[in-house]
Amino acid sequence: MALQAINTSAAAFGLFQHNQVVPGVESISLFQATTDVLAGSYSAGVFSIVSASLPTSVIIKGEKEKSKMTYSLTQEKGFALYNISIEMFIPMMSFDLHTRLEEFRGKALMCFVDMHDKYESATPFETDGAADDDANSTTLKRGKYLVGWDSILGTDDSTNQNSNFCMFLDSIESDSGAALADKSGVTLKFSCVQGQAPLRVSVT
Amino acid sequence: MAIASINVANDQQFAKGGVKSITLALVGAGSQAPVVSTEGVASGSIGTSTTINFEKESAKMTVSMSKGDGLSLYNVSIEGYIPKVSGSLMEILHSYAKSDGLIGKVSNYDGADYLVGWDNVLATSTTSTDFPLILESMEADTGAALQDQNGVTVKFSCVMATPPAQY
Repeated sequence: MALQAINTSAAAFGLFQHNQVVPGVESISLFQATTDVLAGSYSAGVFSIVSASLPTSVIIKGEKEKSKMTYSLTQEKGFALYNISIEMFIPMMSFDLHTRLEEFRGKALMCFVDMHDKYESATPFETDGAADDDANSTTLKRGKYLVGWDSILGTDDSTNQNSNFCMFLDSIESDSGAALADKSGVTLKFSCVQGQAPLRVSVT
Repeated sequence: MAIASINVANDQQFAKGGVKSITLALVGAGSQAPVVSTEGVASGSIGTSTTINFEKESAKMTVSMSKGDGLSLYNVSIEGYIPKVSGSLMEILHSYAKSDGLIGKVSNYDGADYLVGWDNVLATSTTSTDFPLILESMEADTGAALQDQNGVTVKFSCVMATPPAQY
């Protein structure tokens, strides 16, 4: 793709239109690399997969307004790397949750990240875009991204996409709270290195 | 929806004030299928529900919109008074407080009904939202003197990305 202008007064990056984007991660669907087959296709920054081919996954849903995805790009000596981090807060510290989290140790993971934001089928894709069908719940799609696989560091085998740079569980921080008004819960952090920003996922 | 003019008709200047009742359903309740059109008109059932009637002239709904750097957010609040404190009433209200979230239909004395706790932007589906209506507070007061009021003040609130849609 050629260089393109980024102009906050233009429709695609409009300051006012994009002020309507709903922030936050709603949930992530985790699956193990290789074990749970990822079989889609990559083209022009979008990862397409048919719904019947979605890998078997487990869903982690964080508390609302406390989960986010961040990524940063660093480029040294010409090679660009994206560090992607997903942070989630799961309310209620419990033994059951602890044992479930234990299973994530040392596993190479990939995930689909479902955002709170929805987007329209036409540009500029967001909930308050020019096409303005944000009030029509049937045509809106939740923002969905793939983390743990990208077309630069991963192998693009349409029958089972794999990568040596998958996503891993970085840290678990459990906090019981102290006062009755405190929150009891667990903060999870997943991270991975990619050669591309998280790919937008199109499920057909 | 594009920007539109706002005309105030004569009969609108005498609209009755006050909330008459609120009908509540648990998020995901049976037959729940709310729909909001492009014009912001609500239709469809909120599902298996119960109704709270308020003392007349005690209940109101307020909607405040704030927009900082990001999303326009509507803070919706419904506050009302239920006469006569009783153990069973407080137990019912406690069941609302323990619930995982509510969808409500607010009925006003001017004849309008509003959908609260569900909107197209924040809801996951017609039967799921992470931003439902919740029982924010209840305050039971028996009064002291014989002529004092004896009852419970309740407040429901929610955050929405669009204003409450009118049925």
